[in-house]
Amino acid sequence: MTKKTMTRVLIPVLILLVLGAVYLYREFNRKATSTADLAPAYALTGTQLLEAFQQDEKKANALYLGKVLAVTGMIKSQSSDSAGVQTLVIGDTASLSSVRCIMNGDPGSVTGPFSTGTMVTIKGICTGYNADDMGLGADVLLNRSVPQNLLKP
Amino acid sequence: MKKLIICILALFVIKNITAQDKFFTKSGRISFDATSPKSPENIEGVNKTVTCVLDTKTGNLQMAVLMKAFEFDRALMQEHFNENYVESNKFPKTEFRGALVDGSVVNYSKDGVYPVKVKGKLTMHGQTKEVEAEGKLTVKAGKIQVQSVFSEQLADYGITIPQLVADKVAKTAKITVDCLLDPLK
Repeated sequence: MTKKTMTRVLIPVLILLVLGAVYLYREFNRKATSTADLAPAYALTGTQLLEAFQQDEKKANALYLGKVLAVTGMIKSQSSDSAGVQTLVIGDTASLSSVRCIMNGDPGSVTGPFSTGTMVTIKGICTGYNADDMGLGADVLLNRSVPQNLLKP
Repeated sequence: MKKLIICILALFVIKNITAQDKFFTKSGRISFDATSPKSPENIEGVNKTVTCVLDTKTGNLQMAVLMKAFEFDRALMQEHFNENYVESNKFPKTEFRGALVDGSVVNYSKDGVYPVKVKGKLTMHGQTKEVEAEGKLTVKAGKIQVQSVFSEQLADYGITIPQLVADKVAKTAKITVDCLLDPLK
């Protein structure tokens, strides 16, 4: 093999190796994309989402689990845990069941202020459904949530 | 009429007493650590949406954990956890149903830290196993904090580690539970 041929072969191989290494490094260190930058796969009301899980949990899991959802409903309560993670609870105040939106908590992300009774659209990643088998009401959970917009009540 | 009113009042009182026996949270924390000595990084995930109910009258303790709600520092690790290990689309929930072994050691009307042992059935990845764990209950200002650290063998729940990374992931995961329970009203 001549020197010229070797160069012709080696250079593309080296370029491929470098590109591969860069890809692996970036993939290995990749952080979760902010939900604010993700388009919702489905937009629905809190009531529709709860009903979907209550009627057929398996089907609803296949449809919504792990997907970005934009859920609209009324804020019935909100809380923060000891680490400051904020949860907005969307649903009917007369019912124990709700959609629980665990807010993103990223620095600089919009986290409120929210007030009870406000209509809101929250975008978050559906992490599943807890049926009412502990007497606490049923819940659909959205993680890494961000407010899409705030609507007038 | 008088008897009817007394009966209604009695039912109301009984209902309230029953409700106050139960403490709960829907935002408990469970973290797990499957870091092995040869892991190139920490393999840790945390779930901040654990539902937990403690019945102080019976000592019954129940927990529900949605697997998709485990969060990792790196997106790739979270994807591998959900797709290759716990298969969270197929098995979206982990549940514990058990009870305090000796609930009488806890005085729920007096603030304090009480070491406890919990025994019950843990269902994860579609497999159910009897587990026993030590922990503590902290009674403070009308709330109860449930804390425990225990270890579980992943193979006991049918969770297999691919051969390629067999020495990079611990075969036993350390599980840390921390739930602050409010009275159920």
